[in-house]
Amino acid sequence: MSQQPRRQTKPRRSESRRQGISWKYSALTLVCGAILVTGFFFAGKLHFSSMDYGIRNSRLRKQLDEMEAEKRRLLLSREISLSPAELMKAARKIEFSQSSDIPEVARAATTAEMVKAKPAPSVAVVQKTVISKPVEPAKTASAPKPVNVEKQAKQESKGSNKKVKS
Amino acid sequence: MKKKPIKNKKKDLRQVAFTRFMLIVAIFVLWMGGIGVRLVHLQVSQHNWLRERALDQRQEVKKSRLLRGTIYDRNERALAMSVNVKTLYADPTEIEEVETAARDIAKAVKVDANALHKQLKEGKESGKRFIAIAKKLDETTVQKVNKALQTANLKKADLPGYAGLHWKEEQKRSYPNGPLAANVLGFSNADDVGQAGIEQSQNNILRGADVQKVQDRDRLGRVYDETVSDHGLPKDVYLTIDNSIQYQTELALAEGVRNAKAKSGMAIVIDQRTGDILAMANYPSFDPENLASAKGEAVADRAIQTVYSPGSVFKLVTYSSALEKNLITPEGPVDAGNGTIDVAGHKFSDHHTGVMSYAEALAHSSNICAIKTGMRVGKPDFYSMVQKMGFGRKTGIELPAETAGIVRNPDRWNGDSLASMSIGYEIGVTALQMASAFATIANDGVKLQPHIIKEIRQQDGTVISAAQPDRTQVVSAETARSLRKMLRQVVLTGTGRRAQLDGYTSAGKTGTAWKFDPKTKRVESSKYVSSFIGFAPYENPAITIAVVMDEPQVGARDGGMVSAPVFKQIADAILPGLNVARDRAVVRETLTAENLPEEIAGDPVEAKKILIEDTDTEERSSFARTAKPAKGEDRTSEKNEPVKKAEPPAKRQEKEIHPAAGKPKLVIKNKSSTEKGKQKT
Repeated sequence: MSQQPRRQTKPRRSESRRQGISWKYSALTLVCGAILVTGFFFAGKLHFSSMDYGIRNSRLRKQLDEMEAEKRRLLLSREISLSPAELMKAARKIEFSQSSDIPEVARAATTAEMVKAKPAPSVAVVQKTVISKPVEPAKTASAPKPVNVEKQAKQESKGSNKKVKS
Repeated sequence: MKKKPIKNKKKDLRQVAFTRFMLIVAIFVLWMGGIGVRLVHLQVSQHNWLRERALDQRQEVKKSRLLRGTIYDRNERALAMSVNVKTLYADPTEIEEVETAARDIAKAVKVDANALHKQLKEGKESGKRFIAIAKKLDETTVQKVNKALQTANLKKADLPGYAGLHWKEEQKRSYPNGPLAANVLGFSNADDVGQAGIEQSQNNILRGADVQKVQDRDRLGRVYDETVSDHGLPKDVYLTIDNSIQYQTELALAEGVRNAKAKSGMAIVIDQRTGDILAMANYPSFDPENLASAKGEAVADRAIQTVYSPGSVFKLVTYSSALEKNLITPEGPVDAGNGTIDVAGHKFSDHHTGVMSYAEALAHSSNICAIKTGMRVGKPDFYSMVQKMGFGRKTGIELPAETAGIVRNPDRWNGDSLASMSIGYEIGVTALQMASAFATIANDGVKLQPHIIKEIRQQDGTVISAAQPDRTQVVSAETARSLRKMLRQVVLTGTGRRAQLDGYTSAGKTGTAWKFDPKTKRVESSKYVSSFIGFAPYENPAITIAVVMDEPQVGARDGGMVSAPVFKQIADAILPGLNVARDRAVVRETLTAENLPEEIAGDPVEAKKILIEDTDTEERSSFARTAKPAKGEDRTSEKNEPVKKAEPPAKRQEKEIHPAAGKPKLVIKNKSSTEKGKQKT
């Protein structure tokens, strides 16, 4: 009699245990499945976001290359604009010509003077007028005085300084 | 009785469940096994094929070349640089309706539709995948074409949005200054290989590396990953050229050549203190951006590639060697005798007679005095000086195809070779060698190797290498000073008066030599090479300038007439820009009533004409009478050449204007010309 209740209680315990284990297994499986799915989800999300970043990165790199190319083109344009020939053209276009800040004075000088001439940087520079201006008959006939020529040259240089033209 | 069936039933249910479970497991295992087998099959036996297919779908390999390095001048102004351009090409295999495509493309890029249709059709039939439609377009044009070729509802990641059309990235070499320094810079071909000038000599430094880009693309063709192969960036070359000085030099040279109606001309500006070449000009030149119009001769850098007989400018070497040996002094007397000298059966004659100083002899370019000086120096020392000055060997400038010139060994000299070489014949030099020799004298006898590359830098500005020219003391500082003094006299009273500068002192030497014709193996008395080489300022030279004109046709055609004015124009233009202090108050004799000849006073046109005709008559006539054939290359021709040649037009002109000729006195009465007249009469 005492053995029967034991026999009766054993299956109840094992059944309840089995039910408990089954429930736990199910829960564990669900958790694992959920983790796995979440993992896959995150992996997928990361993969696609990586792709997206890669595409954006590639676009930015392309933009950078284009900007570099544009910068180079602009540099080239600047160099073309600053080339001496272009500057000269531009200057002529606005009727701008070279002017010298040194007063232009013409005076007769013999070769002997030139031989004796020693370095004198502070002395005002005298510029030749022969080639650039043909000698006028009236002046040559009346033997122009150096003073007059000097005055004339000074006036010219003053005028040129005012107008920024020579 | 009731419990047994229950037990059996439970047992059966378990059995069934187990069986089902096992069945499912078996199916699952079989399924997995099948997949596994298939996977093994695909990944092992079909690995390569699948890999290639996958990569082909996903990856694209693009090959390109990095932009070629930039060439800068000494002030970091770009002289040559490369920019990105694009070429539009079609892949006919991707085009379905060729006729429509040809019409659309032709409209967008403005080409002949029929020709394009034919090209595309043939390409499609033959399976071609590249047909260039528009080459090397700039970005603005590319954007216009993209806009014109945009197709709606077309899934294409790259522009242009038109099926079968693609852009290929390329590069184009640009020269912002156009033809400026073209002979120095050279040019590169379509494959980015330098063909001339710096582009050729520095090709390995300038050339961009080949780059391979591996791009991973998604199904829409968008790039999501990119791998670029390792490469070294090309380097930039910084020249010693100053683009402003180069421009002024080219301008003056071009004007000089046109005025003299010369065949060609060359000019070099050297900073003798550093050996830097500030300008190297050739005329005629070419535009490297328009090579189709360039003539073969215009492409060569004649300043280093053309050999010519220097004529009287070579007397610098003669007097250098004599001064160095203390055989002469500038003030010392030399007797030109009756104006003739016989050396080994060869009669040299000159119109300069009597006793004069060595300085005067050089100033008036007396050949007899130079020959006598050379004979006093002797063969070994003269040859030694020629070598020390750098003749007969390359200067080592970083430009291709430089020639060494022609200097024969004394063993092969003839009896009159020393005499001929003393006046600049029987020797072949380049303009750069000659300029370098004068630069040596201007630099107190210290020769600096002329160079044109200042630095080579990485693109981030790091200097990789910088020029370190060799320094050699060729003559003593005292000899150099004495020579400078003598050369100063040339400009003041001698043949180079047209080289007097505005506000600066200058010194130099004229040279006029008959040209040797390699075809006839004779010198041609009607063809000259006229040069002027000098430096300024005289006391403390800042620059040395060499101007050489080939076959001038107008006027007296000698160095003093055609080259000295170019020297003046160049020096006047560039010295203020170099911040060189002016050291001279008086420039040149100014024509006024007191020094105008009476018969032409009052006639400005005539006065100007006379000014043009004046000066350098001595040198011209000396060449007309005494200059010996340029026989450096061929002795046979020299033997066939009469000693006194037919007078060139220059001499006839000299006769017309010379007082001794009995004609009206047409030279301007400045002191030098008066003295000259007295001396001659």
